[in-house]
Amino acid sequence: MSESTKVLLLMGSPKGEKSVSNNIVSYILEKFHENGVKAEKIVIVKQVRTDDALNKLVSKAIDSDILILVSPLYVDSIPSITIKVLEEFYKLTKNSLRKKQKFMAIFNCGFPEPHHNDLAMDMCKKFASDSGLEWAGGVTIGMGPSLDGRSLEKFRMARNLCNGLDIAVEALMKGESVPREAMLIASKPLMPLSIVKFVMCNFGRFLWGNQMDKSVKKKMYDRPYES
Amino acid sequence: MKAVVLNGSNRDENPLNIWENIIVEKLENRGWEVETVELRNIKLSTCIGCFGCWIKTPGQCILKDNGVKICKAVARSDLLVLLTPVTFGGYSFELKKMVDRLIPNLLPLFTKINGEIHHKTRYEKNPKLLVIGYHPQYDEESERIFKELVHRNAINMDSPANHAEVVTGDINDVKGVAMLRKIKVIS
Repeated sequence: MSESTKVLLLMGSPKGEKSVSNNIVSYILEKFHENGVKAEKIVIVKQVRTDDALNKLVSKAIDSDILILVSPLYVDSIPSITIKVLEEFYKLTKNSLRKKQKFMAIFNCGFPEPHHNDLAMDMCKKFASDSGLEWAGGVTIGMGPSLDGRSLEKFRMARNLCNGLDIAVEALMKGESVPREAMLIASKPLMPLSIVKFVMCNFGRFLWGNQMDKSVKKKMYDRPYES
Repeated sequence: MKAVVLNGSNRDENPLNIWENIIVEKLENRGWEVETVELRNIKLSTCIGCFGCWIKTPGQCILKDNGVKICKAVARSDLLVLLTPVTFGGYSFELKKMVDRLIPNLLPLFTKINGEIHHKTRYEKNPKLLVIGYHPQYDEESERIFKELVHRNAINMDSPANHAEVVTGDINDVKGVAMLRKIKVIS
């Protein structure tokens, strides 16, 4: 990897920097920086408020050599603000001769099974092929919210994810795509699925109730729009 | 019977607008009460992922704009029709903006469906789902992703029935319109 190689991480969470996606971005940025690579981050939600800011974001994305999207899953798919960026990128690059540019995507969802993210990953692959980008690979993460609030390496359950991301960064720095092995390691469920599913199905009320005020807890099942 | 038609077209001149008219006509002829929304022409914020609709004001989004009215209309409807240009196999930004804002109609709690974890539905009855995508040319992979997406949305929205169709061709393509006329609206 030459010194002039530009690495850009697009952080796609509508929640901004207080998000799991941002935690993952921070980990990857640090890995690039440790290796002397000047990787940059753009928080999409801050850059889609005006056409001017969006244009700047997309220009920067087009100008990068390695583009990495890190995003949560929203309703089986990519969050709307991130779709907006991909649509604009495609509009500006279709039918034009492109330099070689790699694109990697990392998705996390609240469900325990990482495969909920598969369709979002397929869309990213399609975006890459339609826009003339080289697909470098993807990582799918389940139980995303359990990685909130602290840096990634402080979570013991994230050790596979961190190992997989380390291999991914190493490969990208060599100009290679992410090895399948790294994608599989990083995409391993954070905890045994049977246990997590049991807890989520049987203790969901307790888990969510903890985040609610007492008065709201009683209204958890409200149907305000029932006709 | 009530239907809500959400048009996720990115621009004014688009086959989806022609097809919206056909669908509305078809439904009204069958006695449906139809509400249509051109999403690009209304004030609609993007979801901010705060979960306020689950943990602060259960069932209602904290963003007070047209998204609240649409969410209410969808909750009271029997059929939800989504129209969208097929974007990398998925929905357009304009449509996805509203689809992301429909989560107040779910509960934060979880259930297992076919062995997978999904959210429980807030309402006893949810609308059937008809989604029509437009792609200028036939694209096998886009169509595969699109149909799978609609199927998974239907699971998450607890829709009792769903149908997805991808239409191709020029804006005034007679064949495209004729094809749409043949689509059996879920009845």
